[in-house]
Amino acid sequence: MTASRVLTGSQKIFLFLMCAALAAGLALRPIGTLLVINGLFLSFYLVLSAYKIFLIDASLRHDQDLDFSEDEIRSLKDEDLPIYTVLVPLYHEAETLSRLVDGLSRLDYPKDKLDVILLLEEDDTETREAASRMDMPDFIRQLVVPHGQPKTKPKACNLGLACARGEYLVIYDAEDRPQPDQLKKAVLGFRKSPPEVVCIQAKLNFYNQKFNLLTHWFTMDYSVWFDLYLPALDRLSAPIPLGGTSNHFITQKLRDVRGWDPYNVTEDADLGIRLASNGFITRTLNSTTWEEACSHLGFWIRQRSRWTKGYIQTYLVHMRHWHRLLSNVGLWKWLSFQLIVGGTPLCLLINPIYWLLTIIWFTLRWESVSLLFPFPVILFGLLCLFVGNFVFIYSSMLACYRRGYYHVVRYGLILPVYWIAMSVGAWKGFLQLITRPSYWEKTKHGFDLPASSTESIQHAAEGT
Amino acid sequence: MIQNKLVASVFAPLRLLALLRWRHLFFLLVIALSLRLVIPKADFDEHLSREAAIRSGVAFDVARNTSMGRIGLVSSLQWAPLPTILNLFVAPFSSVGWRGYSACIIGAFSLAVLTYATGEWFRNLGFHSLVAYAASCSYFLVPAFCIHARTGTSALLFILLSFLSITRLLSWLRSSRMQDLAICGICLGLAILTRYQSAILLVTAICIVSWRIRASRTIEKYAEATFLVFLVPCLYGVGLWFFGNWLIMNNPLFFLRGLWPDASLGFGHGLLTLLREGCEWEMLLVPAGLILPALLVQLIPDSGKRKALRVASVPAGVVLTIMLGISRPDLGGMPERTKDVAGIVQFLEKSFPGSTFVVSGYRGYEFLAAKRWDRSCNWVHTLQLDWNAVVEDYKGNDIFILVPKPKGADRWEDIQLSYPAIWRHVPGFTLYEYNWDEWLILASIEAHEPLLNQQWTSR
Repeated sequence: MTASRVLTGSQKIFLFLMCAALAAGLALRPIGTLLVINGLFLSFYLVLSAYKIFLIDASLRHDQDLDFSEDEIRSLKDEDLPIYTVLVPLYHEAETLSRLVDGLSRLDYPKDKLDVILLLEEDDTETREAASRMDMPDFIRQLVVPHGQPKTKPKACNLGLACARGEYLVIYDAEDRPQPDQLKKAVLGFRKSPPEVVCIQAKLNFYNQKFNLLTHWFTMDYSVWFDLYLPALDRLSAPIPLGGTSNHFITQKLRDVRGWDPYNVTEDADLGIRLASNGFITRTLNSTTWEEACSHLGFWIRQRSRWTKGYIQTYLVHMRHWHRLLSNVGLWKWLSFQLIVGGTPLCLLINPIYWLLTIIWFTLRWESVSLLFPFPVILFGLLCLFVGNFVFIYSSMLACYRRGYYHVVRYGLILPVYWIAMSVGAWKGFLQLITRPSYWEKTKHGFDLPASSTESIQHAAEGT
Repeated sequence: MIQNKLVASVFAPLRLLALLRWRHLFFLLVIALSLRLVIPKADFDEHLSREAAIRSGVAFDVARNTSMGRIGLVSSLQWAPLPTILNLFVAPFSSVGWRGYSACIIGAFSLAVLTYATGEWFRNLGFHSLVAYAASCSYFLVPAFCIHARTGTSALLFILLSFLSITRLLSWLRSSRMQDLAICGICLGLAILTRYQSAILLVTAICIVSWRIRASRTIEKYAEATFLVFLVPCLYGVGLWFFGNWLIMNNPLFFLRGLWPDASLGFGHGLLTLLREGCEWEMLLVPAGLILPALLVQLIPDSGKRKALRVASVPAGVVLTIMLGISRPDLGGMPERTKDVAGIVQFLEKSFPGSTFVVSGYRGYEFLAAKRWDRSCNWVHTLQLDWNAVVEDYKGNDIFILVPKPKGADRWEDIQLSYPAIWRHVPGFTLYEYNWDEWLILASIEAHEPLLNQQWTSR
């Protein structure tokens, strides 16, 4: 199943029938139809909020991640460690190469067991030339991805997977700085888990949190996602949409599920669901990879649009045979997939409509708005507005506090402004799904990196 | 294996039974026990409190999306909003919910959660589950607690929220766990929306948190972040309430009208009266009495003596609780009942069939509860009584107005209702007054009609 086609024939028919029913309803019983739609949306909000509150509560109560003490890590003998492949896809990132090599050299893993593959695009002469000029360590090799469509990261990764020598495999982006012992922790994680565990997701966070308002908010966003939601999904053994980088795999199992979908622009999320659908389990690991938060609003919106588009692609792909997914993962995990993968973009798309309705009601007091909110619909609406939104703001603050990012906590008070930007990105992604479904919105990095980011990472790790 | 997952997941809820622990069973048991406590035996109205009737009445009007409901929700200094809002969630699921029974259910749940939370508190101190839960059940032996659950007052909700905020603050002082501080902040915010007087707890908590974090000032922004985690839920709850008042009454502090109890009282005495009036602080002694011995034993250095005292602390707490409960069955004040109301309704409907009966203000909701929400045309409820409008609307009818007797000079429970105003502007009618316990029944009768007997006094 691939996202090369956005909709299948049966999905198109279903969508057409839904639109026709909606149009007929609006023509014949406009108020009744709007009331039903409103009721459905508010019920969805309520269920999604309740589920996320449940996940937050589960995460705060128990430490869910795989975690290992220093003694356990020290007990690993170099000769017992397997070969570990590290895939690093690069595209127009010549300026990050030296820092990348520096970061990879710092990995606490025997270098003779490291198989680092830089995936360079054929048409990216700038990066290729920069790489050839550098004195690369022996454990790093370069692989050129032939020019062709689709030009996406998963396509490059699939080539890397085909050439991987390692028993385990991980993906890092060029600007990533994993904690040095992450690979060893992942090895321990695989060894101490049942055979169904084929993927381990490390946590992601940012080393340039303090750069501007956007990076503060982005840090909150990642702290909630990787520190609260994903560990709770792990605890429930629910399908985990993998996040960006630092996904560790058992290489052979990854090959068995045919790697990544080159047409999906959130190939990681898609792969996470596919693994679950094949009966495999993904765990989360208490080890952080430091990334560079996109600090430029324009690029940030482009990145966010790609994520929303990719989530919708993933949802549509796996709902082509919804009954197969249902029978493979079971009802509760299937519902979790609906809420996390389907619900997240839907929520971002319908948020602006409700913000507008709320503003209209509070400022103009239009009675026609009241018609859409009879009791108990109004009760659900108020619950989502006042309780749901507060919980999301507050949990973001708690996530940062728990990580020791005390300086970020205050930015939670104006988090709704960030949600507006998220919705703008979501709508851009949604519209792009129609016009350019497999177009990869490349995130530009390196706006605010000092020559050496080691100090920034140290500060980020300490929360200072 | 995979194909069986769908079947297995359908039966997953049954698997939850296997996950049930002692504490879950205990929680279910206390909920059942406390709900049994509030189920009426015979005539429902006999045990219903005035507060339950008023709160469910306001909630009913809020649910009907009437301006009377919205004004009723925000206008009272006495009826803080949270219990009324909770009624909105519970009342629709019960046939008699809107008559006050929902308030009894909320009271029962509050009692059950309080019992469970105390049991958990004991467990966290290292006591065996059986001992912990058995001790916490002593709440059910305290008459004041049972009465407040059965009559549906919000006293137990206030006690629960205050208890949780205090114990979580104590836990935070010991462990510095963020979750404890967050729950303390949330519970305090909710407690303020249950009894405005709880703001004093917030002030105290702020002082304690400030004292606690003074040692960690070296960590950048730690103090600020800690205060935000603690204060944001409280300030959000209170801010929301200000916002609601502004939205409905164009004044964010509308609910604070008439805050000061008596202008003649000095500041100190006035503040004390303000903090005590309508707030069941004394009831907090019961949970405090139960946990205090165990808490004190924790302060003793670890020794054989401590072990013995530790064993003795639980029965000591239980005995203290029960003694306190038995010696003071009216702890926190006996709930005010609505029983007179049923008698007045019966009397008026029997004596003056076809007349119009006007009830107003918050206490007017008591009559509507007694009337089982049958809003027949001869019973009219209005939050703000406009006498001229009533006479105009029901011209040709004999009109009876029911007002609670003033508590002091010109001090009435109803909004904008002043006693002398009733006697003016009624041309062509004679007003009669009838005393019924704490109620006045005022009849507006055309002068020539010999309708009333000598018990009625002409004004």
